[in-house]
Amino acid sequence: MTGCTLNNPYGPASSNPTGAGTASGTDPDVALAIEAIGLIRATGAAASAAITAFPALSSRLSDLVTLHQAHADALRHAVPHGSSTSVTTPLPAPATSRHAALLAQSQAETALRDALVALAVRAESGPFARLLGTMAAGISQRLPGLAA
Amino acid sequence: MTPVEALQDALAGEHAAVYLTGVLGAQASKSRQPALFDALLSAYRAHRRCRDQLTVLISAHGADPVAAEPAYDIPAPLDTPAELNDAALQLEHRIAKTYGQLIENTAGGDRRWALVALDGGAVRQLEFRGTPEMFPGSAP
Repeated sequence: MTGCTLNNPYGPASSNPTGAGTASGTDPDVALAIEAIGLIRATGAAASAAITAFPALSSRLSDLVTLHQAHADALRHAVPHGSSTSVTTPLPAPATSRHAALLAQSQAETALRDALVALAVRAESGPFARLLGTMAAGISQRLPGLAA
Repeated sequence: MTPVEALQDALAGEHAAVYLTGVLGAQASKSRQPALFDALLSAYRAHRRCRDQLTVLISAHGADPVAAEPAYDIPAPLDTPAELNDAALQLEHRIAKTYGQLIENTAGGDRRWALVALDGGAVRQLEFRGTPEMFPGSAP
């Protein structure tokens, strides 16, 4: 995956089906990328916290932590240098049981998937929309593994 | 690539997918490989639904939807359940990339539809023993 090349939202304007500008630092897609990074980091942090609280969940959640890290990295590389991508998002309250933690993570992943799809619809750059869409699909492929 | 061209590409891909899943389903035994048979039947129905929806989307743009070919090349060999499964998995990988391209080259409602179609195709890969990817449907 070469998110900073093929899927760079600041790539050639010819790849943009909407015809919107792509090279400006004020590109609205920058805001979308930063929003996506915040959501992905929060969901990944929740998965890590669940593993810490319930190590037995590691086999089911570690892949998600890796996935979210890869997605956040791809987005960070797509954002122009100098853009702040630090977003503070509060962790959810710790779950009281392994089952509850798994259920909460499943709900968080579903919400993240839906949010990425919504951001992809809003994206002005076609390649950037595709990047977000592939991230959402990657999460969907892991949801069956979270079923209790 | 214009949005209509991307939609036509996706429709052409779905025409081929409907054909191929039909052939694969005909090769699978419902009694001896029930899981594979069910997965192929489900995939056939999903591709037929996508084909029909793409036809509507293209018509809404005022274009004539591309017609299906009389026949398509069949991957060979298709003698064992594993070969049928692999052919179906490769088909779903190709379709996922087609929908990734459709997302890239459309906007608004067409893009939203493509996002749902990509999601469905990515999950369908798991039915054919595909492994989850980081970016299913990304450009090759």
